[in-house]
Amino acid sequence: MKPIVRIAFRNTQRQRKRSFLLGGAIAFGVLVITIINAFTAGMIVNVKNNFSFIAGGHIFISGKELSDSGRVITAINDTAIVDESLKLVEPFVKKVNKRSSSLAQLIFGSWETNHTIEGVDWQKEEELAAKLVITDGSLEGLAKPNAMVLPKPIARRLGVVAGETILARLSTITGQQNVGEFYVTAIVEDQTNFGATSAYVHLDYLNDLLSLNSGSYQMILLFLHDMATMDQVSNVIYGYLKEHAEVDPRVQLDLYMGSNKKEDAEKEEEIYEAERKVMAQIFGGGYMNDEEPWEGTKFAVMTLNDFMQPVMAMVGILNTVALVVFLILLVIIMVGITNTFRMILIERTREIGTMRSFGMQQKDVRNIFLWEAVFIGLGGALSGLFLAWVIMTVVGFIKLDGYPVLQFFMNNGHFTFLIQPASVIMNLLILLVMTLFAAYMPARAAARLRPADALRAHY
Amino acid sequence: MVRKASVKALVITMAAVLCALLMTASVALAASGSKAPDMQKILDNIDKLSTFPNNDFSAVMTIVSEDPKKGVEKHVVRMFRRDRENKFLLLFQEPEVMKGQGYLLVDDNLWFYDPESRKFTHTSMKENFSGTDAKNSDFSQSTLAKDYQVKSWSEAKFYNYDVYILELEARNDEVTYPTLKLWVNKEPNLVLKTESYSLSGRLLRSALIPNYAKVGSAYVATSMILIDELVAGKKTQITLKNISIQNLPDSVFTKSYMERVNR
Repeated sequence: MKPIVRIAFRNTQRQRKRSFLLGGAIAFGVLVITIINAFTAGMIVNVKNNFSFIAGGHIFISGKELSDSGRVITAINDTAIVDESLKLVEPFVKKVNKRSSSLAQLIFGSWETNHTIEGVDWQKEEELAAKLVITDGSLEGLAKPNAMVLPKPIARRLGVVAGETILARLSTITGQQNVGEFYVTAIVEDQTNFGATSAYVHLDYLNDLLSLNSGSYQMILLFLHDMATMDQVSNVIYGYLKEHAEVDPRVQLDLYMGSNKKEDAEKEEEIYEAERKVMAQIFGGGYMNDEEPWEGTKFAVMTLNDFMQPVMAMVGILNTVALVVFLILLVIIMVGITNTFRMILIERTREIGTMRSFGMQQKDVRNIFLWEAVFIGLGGALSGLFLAWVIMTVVGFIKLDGYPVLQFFMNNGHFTFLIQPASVIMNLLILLVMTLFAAYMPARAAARLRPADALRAHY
Repeated sequence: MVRKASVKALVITMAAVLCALLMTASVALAASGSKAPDMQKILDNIDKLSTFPNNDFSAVMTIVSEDPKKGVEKHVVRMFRRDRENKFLLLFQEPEVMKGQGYLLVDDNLWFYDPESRKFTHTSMKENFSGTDAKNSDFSQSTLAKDYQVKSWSEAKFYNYDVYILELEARNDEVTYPTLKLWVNKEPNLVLKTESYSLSGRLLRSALIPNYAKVGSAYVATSMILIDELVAGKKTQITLKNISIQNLPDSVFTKSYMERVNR
């Protein structure tokens, strides 16, 4: 190690309390920005995972058709086109699930509640069966065609236990009232923790209740090997469908920070409409707009990312706020560093004079100061990172069940902190540059001291 | 000679008796044929008797819904109807939290208005009316003849009334109830009871209509009891008061009226 670096390192030990306080301030800044960045990164992953679990995939292809009377019905009868489009993206796709769904009124005695029923092909969706956490009953009853897997909060609301039969009132795809009897084979934990887990039933039985043709379905759900390929894969599918069939334009949810201005109110109306379209495209339902009539199946393609816009915007705001707080902290710290190094300059003026008279060059004096700043900055930053890791680990272990609103951002009731190496490195670089900048003026002043003047100084 | 004459007389007598029998039978058949009711016409009558083709209609509805778990809820709704243009407006007056909310049917589009958000949302005639057992379609004009055909019928006594029991099946797959069973008073043709069935044939709802009021040339059900046959103990009672067939301004059946009335 160069003597200059060694001297600088030794100097940080001379006034330990002062170095500790200065490093502590830096550590605090690093701690705050690291926790917020890791929190938002973890939040994005949790929201995506929670949503893909609820919706059953990463990419959703839904279809709608026009009945003879012009009514829009949610169904994919034209399966060949969509199957062809899937062949193009086969290497990226981990799993293809075909489902139907309906918002039904579930009835048990005098209890009732509205909940989404999803028709699944249990033989093909083994991973769904494996993921379910059963609290009552078993999946053996799935042998029955009218078997239902009910989420615990819904079962509790209805007062039903496994082995009992409930009624489901729903509308067929053309809007007629229908009722099905379901045997509750298992009651499962609500894995989203906020009541969004659907009740699962056999696809064929639900299709029958919905008056869907045999072999038809309402939605195709794709699970990808890598979520990062979501947009690329969806674009390929959408391109193919657009070429060979009618398609709905791609829609995205957007974040709107409301105010009372008229133009903003109009924008709000647009966003509200977009939200309805998105929901209708994903979950079906009778959203009708003034579109031209079409023939065959009209497809809509959506991805998790289309839903994630509001979350991403929120994350962006959080990260920006965190960065601003970090920069303000750094400015305060910089002022502290500059003052501290000015004091150090005064304290060590005679020492600098001695070193200079023994032949130390100006740049060496300056570098001693700068190295000292680097050591304090790095020490503070590493301590901040370590403390952030400790806090994130402890908080990550705490299970928060009592806050349903937060559950969408959590992983099974736990906050997830995902340290992003790139953002950590960037924050460290910003910190280092600003620390050097803060120490540079006193360092230059120290370097410019004339040895004779410095030796004569009495402070 | 005598034998020949007696045989001739016998043949003539038999022919006369046969003719008489045939004539009686044909008269009886003709008579019975003229009395056989035309059930499709009865459906038409039901629609006509509950429709106001030349006037507007308004009333105040009190809707009391009983739910064994949620208790009793009361809604007071001001109703305006213009059958000739297939429009209606329902405005909530009670409870206080719902005051100003309403439904507007214009051009086959049903809108729900919420004064809190000042937004109109598209909704369906097939939806339940504000969580009660009534459907939004229950408040529009009757279109039984258009939507249903008579599958079978019989005669019966319903309390003190002579009624036809009609079993109706939907003409298309888009009407809310695929099958209906009606108890229709013979004269005039007023529906006293309705049973609504699901596609799977399960009884969903029973409606009893014990009281009618004659308003102009039409009849208005002034009270109605709707029983949810799936949820035990759930029922809704609807009563109509302040009935009027005075014509209303065109502006009543507009979105701007709904917004204005809430200011």
